[in-house]
Amino acid sequence: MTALANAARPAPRRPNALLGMLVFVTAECMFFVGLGFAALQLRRTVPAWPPEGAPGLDVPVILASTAILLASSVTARRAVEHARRDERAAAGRGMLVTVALGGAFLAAQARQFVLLGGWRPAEGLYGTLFELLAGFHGLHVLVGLLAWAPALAAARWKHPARTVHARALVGELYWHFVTLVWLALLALWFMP
Amino acid sequence: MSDPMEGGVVAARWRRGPLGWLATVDHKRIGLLYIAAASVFFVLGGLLALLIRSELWSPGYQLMGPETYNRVLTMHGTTMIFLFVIPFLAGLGNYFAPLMIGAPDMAFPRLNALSFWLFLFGGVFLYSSFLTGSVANAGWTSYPPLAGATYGAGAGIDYWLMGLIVIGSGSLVGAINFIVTIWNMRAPGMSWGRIPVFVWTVFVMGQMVLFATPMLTGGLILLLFDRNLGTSFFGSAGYPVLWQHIFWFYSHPAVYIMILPAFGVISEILPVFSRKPIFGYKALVGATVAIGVLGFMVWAHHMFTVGLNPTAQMVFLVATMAIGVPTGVKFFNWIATMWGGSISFPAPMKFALGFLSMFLIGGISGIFQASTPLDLQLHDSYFIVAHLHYVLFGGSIFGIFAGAYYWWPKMFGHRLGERLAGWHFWLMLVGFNLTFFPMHLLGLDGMPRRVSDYPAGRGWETWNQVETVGAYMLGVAVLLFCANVLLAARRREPAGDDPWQGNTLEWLTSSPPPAHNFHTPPTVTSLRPARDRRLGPDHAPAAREGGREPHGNAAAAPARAQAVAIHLPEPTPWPPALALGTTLLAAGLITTLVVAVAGSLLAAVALLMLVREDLALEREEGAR
Repeated sequence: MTALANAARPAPRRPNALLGMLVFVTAECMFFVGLGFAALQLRRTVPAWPPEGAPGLDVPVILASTAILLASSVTARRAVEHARRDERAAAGRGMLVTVALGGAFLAAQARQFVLLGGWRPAEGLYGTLFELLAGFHGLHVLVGLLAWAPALAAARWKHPARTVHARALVGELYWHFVTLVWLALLALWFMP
Repeated sequence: MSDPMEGGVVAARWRRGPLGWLATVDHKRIGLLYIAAASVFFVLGGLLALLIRSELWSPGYQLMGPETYNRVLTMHGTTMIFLFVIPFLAGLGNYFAPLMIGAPDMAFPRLNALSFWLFLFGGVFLYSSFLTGSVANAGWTSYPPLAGATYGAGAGIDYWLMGLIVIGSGSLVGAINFIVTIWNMRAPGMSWGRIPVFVWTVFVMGQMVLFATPMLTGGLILLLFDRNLGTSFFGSAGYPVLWQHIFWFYSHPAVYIMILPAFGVISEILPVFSRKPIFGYKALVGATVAIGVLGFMVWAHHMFTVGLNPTAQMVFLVATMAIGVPTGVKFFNWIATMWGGSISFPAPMKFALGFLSMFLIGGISGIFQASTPLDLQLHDSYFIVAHLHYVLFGGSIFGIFAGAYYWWPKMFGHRLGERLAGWHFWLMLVGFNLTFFPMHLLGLDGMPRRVSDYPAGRGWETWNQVETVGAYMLGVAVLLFCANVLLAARRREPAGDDPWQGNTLEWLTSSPPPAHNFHTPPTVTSLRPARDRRLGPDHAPAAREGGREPHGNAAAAPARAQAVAIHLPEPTPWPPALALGTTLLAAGLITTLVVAVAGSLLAAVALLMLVREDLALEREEGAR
């Protein structure tokens, strides 16, 4: 924490919080590498992919949710830029838009879950596996929404823009991670 | 030797009493909490081991039936690995890594508290399954289908899975903290080439936890789903071997997570008691990193009998043999460090040498098992048990005791008694070999591991009885250590700041160190800053020993550093509250939903309070 910075120490190139998030995101990636590895191994246990008679995914819904998530990464970047340029109000608004887009993505995912008929493991591997991957990704989106809280609170309670920026950078890093994992999962899923 | 107080303003933040310990964010106190809690689990795990050895005194059932035996065996392995060795070494790292790099605390003091409490509550939750009457019984590896819904009925394995998820999260949070601390918080002049070897090993250990633990968490969650939600990831409709891949992808690196910091402890002790610099610092560090990387490429050597394709087996065979090379590099460096030195043999050095000789035996029997054809014979026999105990007991635990004796004076201000330490060492060395060496022979003779009984008339009784006697000797040795601790605490013979004439920064501050560690931030011009200070400016080398130019303001290093205000975070009850909430959430998910809801509410409140504290701190800093 910044509390431990002191005059005799050169400021580190990356602040602790940002470096910590970078390291944490690495670990999070390994979690999805694990799930992805499991998915690839399990895919090999069925003769065809998608298996005969598997419930269909609604491709337009998936495309829409992907577009929403990509857009939210753009708004996240712009919000952080605002914070860097000392425009606290605009940064706060930008983060709120990002959070709203994240919420919309989650709604679209929920819609997809309903289309798949909810959690029915006995229905077979295809639906279960999709819901597992998308479900854990969704949980991470939820955490990503929370990761904006420190920056939003700093903006709301009129902390200096420098504080808002430092916290927003950390939230942004996590947010891009969430977007990238979604793209990777899609590639894994639709890979022939 | 401690620095004079030079007008630094220090925020007082040590509170007395149990509440002070509960709310502490000080890395030294958290380190001691880790060490104390892990020691309690060590005693529990040791008692379980004595139960195992008593049961195996002779053929037939002495104390317990097979079901109880399976539970005791499972909890012994789980306790020793997840609740003793890993957290104890994390405790040493917590206490000493910041001191050795000259930092006032860890990078994230409150996260540091969180990781400890997650470990403790997770461990308590795991043990609480004893109250439910159903305890995990599928071995510490919990392979499905044995640990699946059909054959692993009862809540015990669910407790095990959830407990490990919580403990693993704590371990992960701790690893992030170690990495960022060592990366960002080093004293002026401490370039990467001047980081003490122990700190390097903690750094690499942290990286391994970072890459390995999330995989295990994923696997644990899938198995929980299989058991409770009717999925079949590891069942007959899925792929049972998948669990073994995921489990060993974590658990083989976990072996190095448990041994690397012990390597680091040894690398600190040998130069001090040989009165020589460490031999081949760069090679030692390089070997540590190499072990960290190679450690991820050998996991399937645990699975040679499941029928992997032969090419894959060959790859894992070669990688496993290859990991012997950096380990060998370390051994030769350690020997060369002692070579020609002026060696003395106080307790830390005794245990370090015990480590060298015992770990060597374990390392070499590991090379045997790397060979696929031989492993097909040795798999699941007592030979494996012998090997893993030579590595984890002869290695990690001897290393842990070496570190405990070495750093005791720093942590508590007084030394442990040498005479009793000598008895402890010799009894442990003899008892250890009596317990575990015969297992090689029994294993080669085909005695299967993990079985509660063995047939009479195979000639296995004698060796089993020797092993049981050895195990009780180990128990007595641990009691001697406890007696030593108590007697030394009563005697309180002041040890001074630098009883061993050490090399590293922790010996420059008082024993025990003040809350903020150093009154003036130390500056570093070589690998042995404490020795430089002891011998005076003529002996301090110019800024070149470490190789590259040091970072930061090392140009001004020889000049006396300025005393500065060190502001440390206040104690806070919210990290333990967050850990408790998380554990309750995990517990509730497999028991009653009300507990889960209460847990998540508590966790949410704690998180909010932590954010609030952080912002308040920031505002205060800005105002100053």
